[in-house]
Amino acid sequence: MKRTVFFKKMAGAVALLAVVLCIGFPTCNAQADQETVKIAVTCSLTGPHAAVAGFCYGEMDYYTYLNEFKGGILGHPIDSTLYDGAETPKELATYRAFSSKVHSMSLYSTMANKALTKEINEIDKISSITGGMDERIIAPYVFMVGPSYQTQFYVSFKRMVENGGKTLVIGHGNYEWMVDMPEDAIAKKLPEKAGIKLLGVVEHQSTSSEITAEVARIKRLNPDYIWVWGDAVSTVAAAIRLGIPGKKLFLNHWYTLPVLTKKFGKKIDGMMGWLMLPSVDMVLKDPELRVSKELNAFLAKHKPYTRNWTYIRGWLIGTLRTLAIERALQKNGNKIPADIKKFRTQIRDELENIKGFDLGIGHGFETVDYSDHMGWGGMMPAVVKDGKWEIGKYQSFN
Amino acid sequence: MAFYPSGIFKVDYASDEGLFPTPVIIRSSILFIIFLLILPWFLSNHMLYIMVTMFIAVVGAVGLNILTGFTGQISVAQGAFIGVGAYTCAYFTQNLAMPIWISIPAGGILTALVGIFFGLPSIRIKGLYLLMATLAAQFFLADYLFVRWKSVTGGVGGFHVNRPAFPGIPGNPNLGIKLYDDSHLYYLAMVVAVIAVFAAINIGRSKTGRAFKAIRDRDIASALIGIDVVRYKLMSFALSSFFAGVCGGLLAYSWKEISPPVFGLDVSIAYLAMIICGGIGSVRGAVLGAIFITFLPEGIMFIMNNIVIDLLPSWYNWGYLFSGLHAMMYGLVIVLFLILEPEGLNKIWINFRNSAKIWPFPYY
Repeated sequence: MKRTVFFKKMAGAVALLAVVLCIGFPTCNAQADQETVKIAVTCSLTGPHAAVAGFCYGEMDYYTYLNEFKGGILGHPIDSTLYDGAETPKELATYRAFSSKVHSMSLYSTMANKALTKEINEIDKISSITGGMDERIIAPYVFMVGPSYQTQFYVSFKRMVENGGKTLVIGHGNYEWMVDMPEDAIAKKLPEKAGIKLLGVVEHQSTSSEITAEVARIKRLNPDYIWVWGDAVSTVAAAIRLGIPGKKLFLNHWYTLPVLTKKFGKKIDGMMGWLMLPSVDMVLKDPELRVSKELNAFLAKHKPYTRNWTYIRGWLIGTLRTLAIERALQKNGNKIPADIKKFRTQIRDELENIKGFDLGIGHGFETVDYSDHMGWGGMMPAVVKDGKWEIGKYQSFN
Repeated sequence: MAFYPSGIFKVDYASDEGLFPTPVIIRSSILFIIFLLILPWFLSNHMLYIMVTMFIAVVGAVGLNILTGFTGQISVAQGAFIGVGAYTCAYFTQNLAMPIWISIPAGGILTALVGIFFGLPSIRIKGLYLLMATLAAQFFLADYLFVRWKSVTGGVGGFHVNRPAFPGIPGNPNLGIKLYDDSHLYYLAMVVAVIAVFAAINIGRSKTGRAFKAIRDRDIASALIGIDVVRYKLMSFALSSFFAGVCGGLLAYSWKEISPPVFGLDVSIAYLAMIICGGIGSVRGAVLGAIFITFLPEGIMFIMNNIVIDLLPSWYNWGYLFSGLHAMMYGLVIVLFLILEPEGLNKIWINFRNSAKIWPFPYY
């Protein structure tokens, strides 16, 4: 009898859910608040790439900061929503959930950007500051921040040469971007252009934490440098196990995180990498910086998701986007036009018009010219000394 | 009385096994299809996409039900089989400029052949051992073949598929209805899903279906009464894989960008979850399971972001928490199903229908 009651309740709940889903979604669309600036952010909050999701939280926190301390953008509150799921099918569904409502967005994955090229750029016309860094996804409505992966390959190879390197092996995982980017770099002959000889490419299973066999294959090739493209922790652990000195390892920018130095300490002395942006604490050292002032105000009331550089990345994405929205609003007499596509296009145009904008994070970072959709074009070189990352001066690659 | 007539006398086997045993079922089926036909007019883009995804999932789940539900052959390679269909369909469309009515069946047929090949171990092994064999197929296809056979699959960089015209004519797609819009794809996916469901029901009622079920219940006894177990097991793999291939073809058109990770083990698990939540061995269960699993993450997100969040105190940004919550809720719901109703949504539906028949009385 109890089971029957449970079944009836379950059936009732399912029927109610179906009604809510079928009627609720279109109703919600129709009730969109015209005076609120709506922004959607998709991100990899769960799963293997969640470790670098700090930039999504940083961006969301910037909108919270604007709402709480500045009253939104020119008095318009920001309604921002963070969606989990940066794999293609999920992101395609998510995009359709917000595409009729939002004024601007951040679409995370490269594949989703490719799949939705027509929708983003021709049909819905929503400006996107993407989480991806492959320069091939740049499009009229798609913007990036920071040096692209292609640039990172090239400047890293150049730095290897500058440090006396003549040969190189690329070690990478088997996730999409971990395979695709080395292939693109090789097709573009980036090692040759940088003046270093590529001895080989060794792939490993990203889902495996034990990749000693693969790293042993790299060791047998005896390169001057190993370009660690993905899965840095397992690669570095295997390299230490095999006696490969830290000075032979070179990391891509995602992995200049404290986890490696905390885990391996002085064993990886000499390992090189790039710090894409200063961390929260590096920015806060100079209280006169614009972002420092903003963060000080925000952090007095809130706790950040992380204090590493990814958080600053998100904060800057938010800054650039809201700057463009503010300018678009000013052109419309501080009103959000009824024609949502017109407003979206204005935001896109204003993003493209951003010139000479000071990022407000100090450390020598250049001003942003967004006409090329690429953001800023430099990073800070990093090297492990005495078990800690030592950060060098900002280098521009423009 | 108008809805549940009594006194239906079945005087021959044909009427006993009819797809539509009462006029009520015929009328309600027609009404339901009319409802599905007009539904896109009232749906947002998002819901339209979810409905397309749901129809496609129905095809895949009904196919897996033939193999696992009817024949009792467990498979965790459904994701990879769907991938074979998707890549075949994409290749036929993009590289060979074939119309959709060739590309999708081609995806189904090639996947059926692949299914037969990977179903060969089922002749000798069953249960957990067969699961391991299909797991090997999943890894070989999705993690190796799709990644390495770049000339066909595009590797991890992905394969872009333009939505074609239907009914397309090679070289002159403008003569057909362009499938670019999700609403057009909705009708195609709906028609295919309806065909798939009726085909699966018919298979279940046929001599072949009875042989499948006999093998599921006791394969040695089936062989003793003259059923060719090897033939029917492979046929089951072929039929199931054909459905998976068609499902993959539709997915390729829906996503427009396909890459190996989207056909991973998690997809196979999701399809298994569909038939388990729906009620294994029943076509209606597979359909209900596909609907349930497709809508579950969307429903959780909708309820959390639009209802629950307003009821909670504002001192914490609950949106951050809810953004990652759907993955946990997904697992929780499946576990609850296994504990509370192992026979799935189909059993819940039967109980509900039986209760509704005698309402307002609690029992006969």
